[in-house]
Amino acid sequence: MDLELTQKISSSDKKNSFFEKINNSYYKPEIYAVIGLILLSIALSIASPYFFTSRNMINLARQVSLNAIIATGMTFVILTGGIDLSVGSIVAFTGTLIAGFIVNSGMSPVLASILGLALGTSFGVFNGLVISNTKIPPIIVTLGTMSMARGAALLYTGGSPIAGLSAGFKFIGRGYLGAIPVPVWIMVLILAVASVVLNKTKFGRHVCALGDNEETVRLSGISVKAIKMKIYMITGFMSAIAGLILAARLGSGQPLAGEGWELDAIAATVVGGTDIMGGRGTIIGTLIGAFIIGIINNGLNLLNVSPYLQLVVKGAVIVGAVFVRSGVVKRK
Amino acid sequence: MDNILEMKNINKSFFGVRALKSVSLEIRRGEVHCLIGENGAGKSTLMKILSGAYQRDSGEIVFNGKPLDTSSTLQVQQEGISIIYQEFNLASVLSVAENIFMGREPLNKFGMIDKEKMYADTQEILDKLGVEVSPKALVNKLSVAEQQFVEIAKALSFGAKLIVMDEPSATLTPKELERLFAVIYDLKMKGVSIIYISHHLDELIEIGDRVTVLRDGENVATDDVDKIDKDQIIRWMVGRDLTNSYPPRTVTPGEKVLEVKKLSSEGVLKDINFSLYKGEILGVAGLVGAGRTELVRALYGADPKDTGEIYLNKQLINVDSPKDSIDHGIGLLPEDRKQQGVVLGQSIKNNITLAKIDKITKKILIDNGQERREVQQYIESLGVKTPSQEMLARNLSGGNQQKVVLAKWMFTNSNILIFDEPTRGIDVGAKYEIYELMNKLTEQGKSIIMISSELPEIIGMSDRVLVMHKGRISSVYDRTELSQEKIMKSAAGEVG
Amino acid sequence: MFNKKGMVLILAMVLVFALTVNAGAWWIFGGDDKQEKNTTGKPHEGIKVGITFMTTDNPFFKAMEDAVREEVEGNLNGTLLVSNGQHDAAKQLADVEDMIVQGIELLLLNPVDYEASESIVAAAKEAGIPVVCVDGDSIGDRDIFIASNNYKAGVINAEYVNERLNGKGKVVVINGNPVSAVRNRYNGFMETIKKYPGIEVVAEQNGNGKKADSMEVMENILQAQPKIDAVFAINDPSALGVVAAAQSAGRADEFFVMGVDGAPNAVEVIANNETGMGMAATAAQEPAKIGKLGVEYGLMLLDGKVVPDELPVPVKLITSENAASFSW
Ligand SMILES: Nc1ncnc2c1ncn2[C@@H]1O[C@H](COP(=O)(O)OP(=O)(O)OP(=O)(O)O)[C@@H](O)[C@H]1O
Ligand SMILES: [Mg+2]
Repeated sequence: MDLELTQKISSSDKKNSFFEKINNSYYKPEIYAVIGLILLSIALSIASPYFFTSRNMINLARQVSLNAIIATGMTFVILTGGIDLSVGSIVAFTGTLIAGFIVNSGMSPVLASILGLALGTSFGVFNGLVISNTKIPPIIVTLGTMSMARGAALLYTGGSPIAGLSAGFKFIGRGYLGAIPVPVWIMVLILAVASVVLNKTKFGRHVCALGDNEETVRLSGISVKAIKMKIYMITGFMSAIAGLILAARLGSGQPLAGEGWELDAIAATVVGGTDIMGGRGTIIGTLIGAFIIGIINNGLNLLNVSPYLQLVVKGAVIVGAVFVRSGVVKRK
Repeated sequence: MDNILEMKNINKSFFGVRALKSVSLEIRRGEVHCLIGENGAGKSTLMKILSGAYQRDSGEIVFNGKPLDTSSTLQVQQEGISIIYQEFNLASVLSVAENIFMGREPLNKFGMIDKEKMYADTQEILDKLGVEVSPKALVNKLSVAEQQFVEIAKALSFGAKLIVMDEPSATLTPKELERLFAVIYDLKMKGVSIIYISHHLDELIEIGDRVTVLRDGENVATDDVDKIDKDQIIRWMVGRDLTNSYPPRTVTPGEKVLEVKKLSSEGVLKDINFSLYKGEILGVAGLVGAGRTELVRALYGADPKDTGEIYLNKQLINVDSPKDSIDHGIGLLPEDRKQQGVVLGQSIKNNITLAKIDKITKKILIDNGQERREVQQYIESLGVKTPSQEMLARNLSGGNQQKVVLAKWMFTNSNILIFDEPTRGIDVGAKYEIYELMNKLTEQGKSIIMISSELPEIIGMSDRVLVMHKGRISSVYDRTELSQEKIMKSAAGEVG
Repeated sequence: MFNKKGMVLILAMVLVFALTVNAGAWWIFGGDDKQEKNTTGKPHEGIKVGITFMTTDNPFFKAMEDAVREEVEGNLNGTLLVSNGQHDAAKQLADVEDMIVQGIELLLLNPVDYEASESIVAAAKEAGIPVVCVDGDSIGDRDIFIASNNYKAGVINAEYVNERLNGKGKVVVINGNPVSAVRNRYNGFMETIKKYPGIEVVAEQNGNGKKADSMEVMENILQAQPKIDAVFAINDPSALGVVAAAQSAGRADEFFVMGVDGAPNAVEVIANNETGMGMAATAAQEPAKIGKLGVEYGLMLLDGKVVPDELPVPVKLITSENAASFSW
């Protein structure tokens, strides 16, 4: 019976099977993102002679790296059916803290970074604690944290940026290893680990299942609280890493940095095929999503499109991508 | 003879797999037409095509003499066809009345919803059905059986000419079933046609006028119920004879593995004491609301308990959460498949291994090869009908989802397995296989607590039976002294 | 079905295709570019210039952009690339990186942040591109900073206050985010006002340089301050926000408001001011002039000429007397 069925898959019924195939789990959900990325790349290669140059590709990868790192954390959160709005503020908080520790308190960059990352992550821990122990929805909790972390960054800096970081520290944001910028290496490393965690570990499985049906997961003997705690902590940590890199890239801690980045991260995640309702998604999809968002920015710049129109196009593409995906999901 | 519905040469494929192959079905005015077939035979799919929930690949549907427009479910409903799905469709945070009148609420002269009228109309329909539910009650506070009746009430309120009931009896008590049959009979007299899907052959014989058997997506037979018998139906369904309903129990239970003392929970459970032995199948019988599910959930740590001690192999253990239970080798297959059993958006494979991923994990990484092999074994031994283990659970037929949940708990390798209605929605042939698996588990030294509302199943499979009544254990029977009558009496609180 | 190998293959094919197309485009458009460049032989004919603003939602920068465009595209037959930093230092950096990829020869930089823009300057200098800071300065190796004399803008507003209040009164200050221009205006005002002991600064808040935000902080200040004689806001949008707050509190005739910029809508309000209260004065800058000077000094840099480190552009106090004849 089974054999017979399997053979038939390849032969009969071509009509609407393409959409159905994509929508079934053994056809990867990020396929739309891949198609989108390819089409965008082709279009931009034709439209601008600068787009498909190695210089611009490197440039693009560096620009995308921070969003990709944050969006990786966001992917875990969205997979569980949650959301984290505090990421951008944690970026600013961590960046200013690290800059302040180095410049004002005279700490060694290594110590300052470790401390800054730990404190940045603590906002994620706070999110996790509140969300897993109360019934307050994640969107509210992280909205609060968004404000708290931003406020903390502004308080700590008194509102103005902290500059004067050493060349060694700036290397993290501006340097190259081989031909590839350091932030890109960091992104690759983080995404590789995250991808393995999501696909090949117990934790990853639990995360996906949780987004689909929390009660079943609980009755399966899995601690739902612990998972929620961990994912918000992960997102906090990813944001803190991004904050560290950004401070190094800008050579200063900016209390106003990272505003609106939660939207870019959510957009990258969702454009990359992660179901906004939770349960299904991949890290590679999110990476592709981050590149799509990045290419839209980069490409429109290269095409010298009016900055205002850029915002419109970006918004339209995000909504369009989500629409295509949800349209397909509905078919089932 | 006057046909209200004619479905002709209906074809439907999913992912290239044909779920329906040229199925034709004719329903007469005022008849109860039973639809039966193995899990995954295509019963629900055929009905979803009728309702417009799925679009057919080819074929023709004529309703009331006219081609039926199935492009939207609302359209079909307005034409006079109501479907009560196997998986309910109620919005759980709304009241009974709001569910029944959703989208067509009566309005008062200010254009606001006329609540008074809505409640009154709902009350009238509920009275006709003889259901004691308040129109204002929230649906998520109702029992499964009560929700079922709300669904039927909703269909009636549409003035349906044809009502499809997809496994309505799976969750009903004998009393509720009687009432349902009375309602069906009443509808039939009024000229309403009913399509009735069930895995219970007795029901078909009792209520049906004609029966259609589907096998592997094909209509293998349609005949008058009077002219055939159960064995004939089974032969059509599975293509062979089934001689026994239950495999013989051969295990002799060993030492005590679990003892529950003084388990209580305010308003639900009162002073529960019982033991479970190695290799034993302990049946738990009782009426809906007797506290059977509450008992096993409290035992498992899914719900809090007020008092009670649990001894595992004579050791007192602490069970405050499902996680504690799993860690002690106790597993619970919950009653509510869709909300608590399967994760619909995940693959069959991920569902089966969810509760015990450690088993297929080497160091910290999942061994995909091993996982696939082990999962394949369960798919085969339980006969889960699917082209791939990567198929989302959502796309399986109801019975096959139940098999996946069973597989999931078997996979945990727990020493004590608690099954709450394990064979609900499972076809006759597959049931037998599941009973055999239960026997095999007990042969391996595992113990099973089985809640079931099917008395024959309780009697056929249990070594001992606990009967519950109003949150207490009213009596305990040994296999040798079991009878349907005794159980029913103590379930009703007349003995013990 | 798309398996991994299939995916890689498709990607590879696309890349090859894109490269081919790209080469073709280069060949066609690249050729065109060159031809255009050498038509008349004017120096810097066909130059490609990039300008990036901290934000473009301010008519000030629009006026500057128009003037720069006139210079670059009108007079020099070149190309102007424009970026909107949207108050985000990281975005501005990315935008400039994209401009460098496109081969700009000169960068006019209006930084989101004085310090964070160091990386922008570094990136441009690394690519051998001269950097002219306009309106806002940057740390690092920028070549020249051209801006209104913002300090002076603060000073003349302070002097105007003193004059109108005859050396006695209560003043409110609406500050902005501390970029260099704002800091200088603020310092100019505060340091000058200190010289007049009868004038007291009773409240000071940050309005983010935006009308809506300033209106909000002014509403709060109005709650706390029973008597106000004058308000100094660091730019015109903030000043108009203050006026709006005063009107809705029914205190429009209690005090007068000053801004900095000379934005058209502010100038119009000043020109039509009959009571003397409300929007009464602004220290007007001349963005078009700054832009023109930016291009002019940029070209000098490209020619290897020596330029000053900073170039202050004078400001002018606009009141109801001269408003009608002023425009950016
Ligand atoms: N949305 C879907 N996507 C893919 N396959 C589907 C989908 N719906 C149904 N199927 C497949 O079609 C077949 C028939 O399913 P259907 O639900 O009609 O069975 P059924 O006769 O109602 O079984 P049961 O008694 O278990 O409820 C099954 O093999 C099922 O896996
Ligand atoms: Mg079914």
